[in-house]
Amino acid sequence: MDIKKEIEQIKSSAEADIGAAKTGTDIENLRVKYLGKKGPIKDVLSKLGALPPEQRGETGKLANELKNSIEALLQEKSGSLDPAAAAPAAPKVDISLPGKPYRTGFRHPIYKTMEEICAVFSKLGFSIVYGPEIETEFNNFEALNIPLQHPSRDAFDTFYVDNKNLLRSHTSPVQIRTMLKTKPPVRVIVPGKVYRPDTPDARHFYMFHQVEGLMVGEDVTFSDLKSVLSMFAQKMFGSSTKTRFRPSFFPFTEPSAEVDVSCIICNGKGVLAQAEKEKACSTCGGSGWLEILGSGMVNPKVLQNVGYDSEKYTGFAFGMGVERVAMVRYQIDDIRLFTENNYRFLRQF
Amino acid sequence: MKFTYNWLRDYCPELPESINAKRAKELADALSMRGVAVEDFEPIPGAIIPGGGAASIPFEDWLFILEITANRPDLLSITGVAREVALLTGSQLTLPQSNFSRAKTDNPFPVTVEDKNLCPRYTGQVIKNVKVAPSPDWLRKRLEAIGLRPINNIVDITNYILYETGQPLHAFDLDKLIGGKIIVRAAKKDEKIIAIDGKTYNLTPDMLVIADEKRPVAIAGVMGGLETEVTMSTRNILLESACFDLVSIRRTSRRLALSSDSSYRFERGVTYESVQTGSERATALNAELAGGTPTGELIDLNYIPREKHTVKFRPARAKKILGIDLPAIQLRKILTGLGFAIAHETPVFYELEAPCFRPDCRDEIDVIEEAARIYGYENIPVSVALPMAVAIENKSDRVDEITRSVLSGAGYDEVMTNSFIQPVMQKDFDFWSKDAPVNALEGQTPSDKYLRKALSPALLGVIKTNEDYREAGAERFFEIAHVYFTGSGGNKFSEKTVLSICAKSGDIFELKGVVREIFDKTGIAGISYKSGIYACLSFDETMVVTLADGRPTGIIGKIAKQAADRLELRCMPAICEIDMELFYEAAGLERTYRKFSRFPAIKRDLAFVMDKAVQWSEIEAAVKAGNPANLEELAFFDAFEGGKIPQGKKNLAFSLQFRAQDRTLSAEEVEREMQKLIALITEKFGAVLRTF
Repeated sequence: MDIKKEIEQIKSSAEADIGAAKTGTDIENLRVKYLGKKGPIKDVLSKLGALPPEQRGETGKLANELKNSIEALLQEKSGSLDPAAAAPAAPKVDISLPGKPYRTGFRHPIYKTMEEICAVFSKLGFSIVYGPEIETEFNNFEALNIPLQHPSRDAFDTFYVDNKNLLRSHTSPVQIRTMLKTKPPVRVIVPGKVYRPDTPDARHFYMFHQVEGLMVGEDVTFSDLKSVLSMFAQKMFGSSTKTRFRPSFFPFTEPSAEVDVSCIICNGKGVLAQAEKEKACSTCGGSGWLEILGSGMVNPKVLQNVGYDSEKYTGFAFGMGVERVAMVRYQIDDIRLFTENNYRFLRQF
Repeated sequence: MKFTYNWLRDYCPELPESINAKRAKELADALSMRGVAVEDFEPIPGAIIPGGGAASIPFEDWLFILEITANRPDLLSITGVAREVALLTGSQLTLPQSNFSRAKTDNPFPVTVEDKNLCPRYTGQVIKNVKVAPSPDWLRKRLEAIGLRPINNIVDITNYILYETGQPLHAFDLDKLIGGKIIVRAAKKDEKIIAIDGKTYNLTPDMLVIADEKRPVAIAGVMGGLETEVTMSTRNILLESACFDLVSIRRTSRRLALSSDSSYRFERGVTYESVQTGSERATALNAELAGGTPTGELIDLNYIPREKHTVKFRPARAKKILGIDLPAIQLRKILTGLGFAIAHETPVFYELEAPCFRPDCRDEIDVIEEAARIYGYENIPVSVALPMAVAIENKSDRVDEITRSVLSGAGYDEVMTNSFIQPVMQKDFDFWSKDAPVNALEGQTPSDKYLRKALSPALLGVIKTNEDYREAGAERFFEIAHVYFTGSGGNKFSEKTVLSICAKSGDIFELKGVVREIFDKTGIAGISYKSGIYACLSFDETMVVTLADGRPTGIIGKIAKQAADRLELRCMPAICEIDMELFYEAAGLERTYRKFSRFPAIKRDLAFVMDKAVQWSEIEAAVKAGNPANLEELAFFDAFEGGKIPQGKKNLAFSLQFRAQDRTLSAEEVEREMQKLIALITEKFGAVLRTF
């Protein structure tokens, strides 16, 4: 047969076959049929040698064009098929095998939470400052208007390391340190470890963490305090979080307030919707509120203690327990888990 | 502090006779939102209104449990709470009256107060011919409801009036007072007293006692004595009502580990005024319930009526603190409702007389707090505009952050360990100090632990904890935290921030590698590693991490067998401990772009057999000293001994990368440099080139 004719025939048969192809397997079969080692194009090319030399070039060119056009048709058809149908019956690689092990480290929930709290306040313009954990009695108590032998010290049972120095029972002494070396305005946040001689149980441990905040300036008001802490609560616990300020007493602030946030578990409803009946939320004890922060306007006596003009400058301070925030957030029921460092605990964060 | 609704109503008679659970919650919330924190409230069992059946039937009475802050001694009485309730509900406050008459006597009971500072007011009322008997039902029920055990009418009256007025009282059996007198004095050395709780207390001269002629009959303000207590055979009593120095009472109570309803109130402050009110209320009840005859006038020592305390209050100052104007009419109502008297008024300030029962209201700020409290914090709006400020970022925080992210990325888990540690665990971990560790004062330290002077022992403790649980994944840990020292420099105590990394594998090069990555990422160059000796580390595998300026900044090493045994470890981990404070100083976080060559590199490997003693650092130095042209990078990749390598020798392999800034290097150029290097190393170290 005339080779040119043969090429024509191959082309029309390939066009018909490709047009009828329905699946990826069909395409693959046609690829083998036309372009494979035993396919008609290979056959045509093998016959080129028998042709007169003047015809070889042209015929070879035709054969190559045919090959390219079949490839293009296959490609085009394959692209137009439904991808699911286009896929071969099964991949050759067992993709159910696990990925290669890349294990990054876990962050401790306390340090992580502390960083998150600080990050929120950083965005509100609070600079992070630190202080020593072994403090003077003066900075921890007297300068903060907590006189010796006063019942207000009951809340601050303390580890003494000698008769004048102690393990700080709160991060508030850093307020004093900061104000003694800085002129107002002051806007700082103080994360750190604190110590109180409690007997360890599910809710108490003698070492824990606090984040303390202080803002002092010429026109810092209780209204600003409410504003900053509401923003914090929304950023930390979710934008629908509500805050509630209750009058309280701290020797170093006046007026003082306990700050509650609406329970993040029951959304402040106090109850958890159950399948049949409603059950009191165990996180907030059914009140719908979680006690998270202590706060207040810096007591003028504290400002005077650091040499600030308490008529000119006002300020607010607040503090929160990092363990408390983390326990609420992660639903952790035993504070001792934090220092145990059991891998089965650590790996959850 | 506890009170019952029914009892409260005695002083707020306008309140509804009974309340249901919903109303009880409303009252609790209202009090809490005004600073009288209600911890809990519950129905009093057996107090259901007759006829009630279903759960919705109102309870007749409710118990409220309050958490009273240290600044409010006035709220340690039900009348004090009633004053708040009256103000919050806008109802009338009705304080109880004392109506009784006294029999005359020519022999007033003799009382002497030796230390007037510790006992600013002491009163006694003699009541004769009392009939000791169980209290009437209503009184017993009220006491039981707030958790007190009824004893007899005389004792119950003192407790009842303590809760009503906040004034602690004590009744002595008058006939048991030896010598017929009372002396308020300091305890004598080695004096003892058996208190009414049946326990014997050893007294010291800094404690105040109430004594008769022979012995102490009460620990002043804390607890009465057993020998003079009222019993069923008591006929005549001396009713004590006094005021003691709060610091003295607190110290005594703590020293004796003995706290009572009385000491709790004295510590927080009992007013001069309630001394008399309390005594008279109790006397009247005694006459009424025990048929006693108050005999003689009230014996009243040291009463120095205090001057009215005036406070200047400026509404403008309140605005500066609170951020809002308090409406004048409301303000006046709040202040007078709280018991303040307006002594003088100008357009810019009020001169207020503070009520005697509010010793906490001394300064203007105290009054501002009171005004805000009653006005309601929820009524103070959130400010709309806060001045902007830029937070200063600490270099140390950045370095910590980078360190944590490198370690996390490398698969190290962050832990948080206890700052206290048992001495045996940190023995020999003298990286930073050989001095004794810091100890919290004797008897205070939890389970006899000291503050840590190195962080690594705590991390090894974490390895141990997880080993006990057979946790396969628990292999790499780190923490950044403080360590504590005594006697360093001029300070008595000091502390610093350190990083500890711990690898269960025991491979010090794993730690050296991750530390190097931290140095790279924090821009610390020129680190070198020197050998060091620490008793807790294996001598062969210890390196001191040294900064470019020569200061040691940390240690990497494998735990010595002895230390591992002391820590009861089944493995021998490698640890690293770095002084972060030096690290913060050395870190260079700024980056500058350097132009790089766009031409391809040529890489060559070399391996030599050489003496075992030759260190990689020597080879590295020799190659660099040879200054090969276009050498871009020199990197160790392998060292081994044994097999075909002769005894005492080792195989050391490394790679070299060449690149020119301005052209593509030719193989010949590189080959020339390689030959020079091979000759150099062969000659200098007696090494033999290995061929592949």
